[in-house]
Amino acid sequence: MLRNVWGGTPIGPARPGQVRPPAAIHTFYPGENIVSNALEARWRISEQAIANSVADETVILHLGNGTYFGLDPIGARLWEALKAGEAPVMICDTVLAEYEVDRATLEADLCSLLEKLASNDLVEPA
Amino acid sequence: MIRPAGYSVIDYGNMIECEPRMSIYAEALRRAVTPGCTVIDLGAAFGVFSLLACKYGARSVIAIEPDPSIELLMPLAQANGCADRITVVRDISTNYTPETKADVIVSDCRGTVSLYQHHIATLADARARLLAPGGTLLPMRDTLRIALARWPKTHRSRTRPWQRNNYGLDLTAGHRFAVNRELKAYLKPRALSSAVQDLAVLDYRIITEPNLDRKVELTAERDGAVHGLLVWFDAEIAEGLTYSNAPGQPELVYGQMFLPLDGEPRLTTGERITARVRGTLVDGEYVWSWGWQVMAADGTPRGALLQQSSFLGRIHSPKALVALSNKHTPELDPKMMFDRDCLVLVGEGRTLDVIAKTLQERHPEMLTSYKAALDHASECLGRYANRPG
Repeated sequence: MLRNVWGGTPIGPARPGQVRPPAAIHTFYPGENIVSNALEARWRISEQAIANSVADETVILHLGNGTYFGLDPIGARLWEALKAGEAPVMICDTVLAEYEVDRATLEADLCSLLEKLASNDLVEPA
Repeated sequence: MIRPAGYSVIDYGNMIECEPRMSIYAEALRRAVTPGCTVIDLGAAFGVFSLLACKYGARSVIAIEPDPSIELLMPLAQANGCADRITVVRDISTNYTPETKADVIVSDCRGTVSLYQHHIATLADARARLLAPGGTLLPMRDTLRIALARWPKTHRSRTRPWQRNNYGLDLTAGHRFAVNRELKAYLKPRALSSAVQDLAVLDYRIITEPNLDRKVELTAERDGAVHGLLVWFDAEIAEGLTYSNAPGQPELVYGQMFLPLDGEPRLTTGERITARVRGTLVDGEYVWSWGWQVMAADGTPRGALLQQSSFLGRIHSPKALVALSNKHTPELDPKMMFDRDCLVLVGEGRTLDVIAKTLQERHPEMLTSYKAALDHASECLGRYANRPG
């Protein structure tokens, strides 16, 4: 299970899963602009992922290996943006207005979440 | 493993009278069992196949079943004069290692479709470890079929409460959960709106993969609303011995699986629904997902691709799921403390009476009476007494 970004310590799969080899975000975005590139890129939801939102939290199931992942409200907001075909950076202004967080921290956290989503085969570069 | 079924004696009575299922299985057993052979009855329930195997001449029958219903087998075996030939294993089959491999393995661990709990993995394991070379596996093969179906009455009863009510409440948030649950159906041929297509062939002699992922294209053969995808199976228990839970066949205990289509799409003859049907085994239960789209007769999409899944029909608690994480640090609560103390006292060889008194002494604020302490200890130990193995 994955719980990010504002949900506390990120945690791994609930059970040792048959998670595919990580499609490491860094391999797609080398160099010093990793964060900005990842946030400005387009991503798509993996065909293996299905998400169920209740209240302001989201649970994702990976249909290939049966592993559950949890997203907190801001992670859920990122997920909705990706589902709508928006770049992750599109949610930054709204989140900055609602939460006491500076842009650098927010962008780093979003990037970290994207990396975890990608490495668990839940999203992929569009 | 197949989990304890939790069927009642009434359910088992219905299974005995479920025809032609029962007579087909009996005939398959009669043909497969040879004098002196060994039979494993997998997921035996109360053991009717075990009794039949003895009747047809088996020298030895091992009935494997984790459910307490298996306790009914020995009195029945005594009544039928075959108790000395039956061994009961109250456990899951994957925990069982035989002294000699079986000549015949018989089982019926299906639900509305053949992909049910750990059915596939259980049979694959049994085939590899429990069956003698050249042995017979009953059933032999199932074919899953699929078609578009109408089921207006049930569709309305599922969706209407969430769309409007007499109390001025907005309950639409519940609609999504209502339309993403698979249903057990007993539909007739007149409910079908398309030709039937094969969804999957499950050959139990070779199958290992428990998950299903297939695309189908179902063409409407009449105008009107379509309410869902109907899935059933044609069973081949042995060569030439078949039955089916298809519409038009005698109603069997399994029923059929109905996957509702959100929005009740209206199709004209020749229009199609393309669907990707996936069955994914998650924590011992199947999650069914069906993504679908209406296509015009010329093949162009008419409407959006809609993703439905039984996963979307569940109200998940993220907090409960987090508690299952390998990174979660559980906190000891009073109930856990009772259990911990209870099990330690069991380890010390105490009677239930002593355990209850000790629990009450240690937790007087929570266990305010001897009876409350005794009830807790009984409930705690009962969880272990009723589990297989």
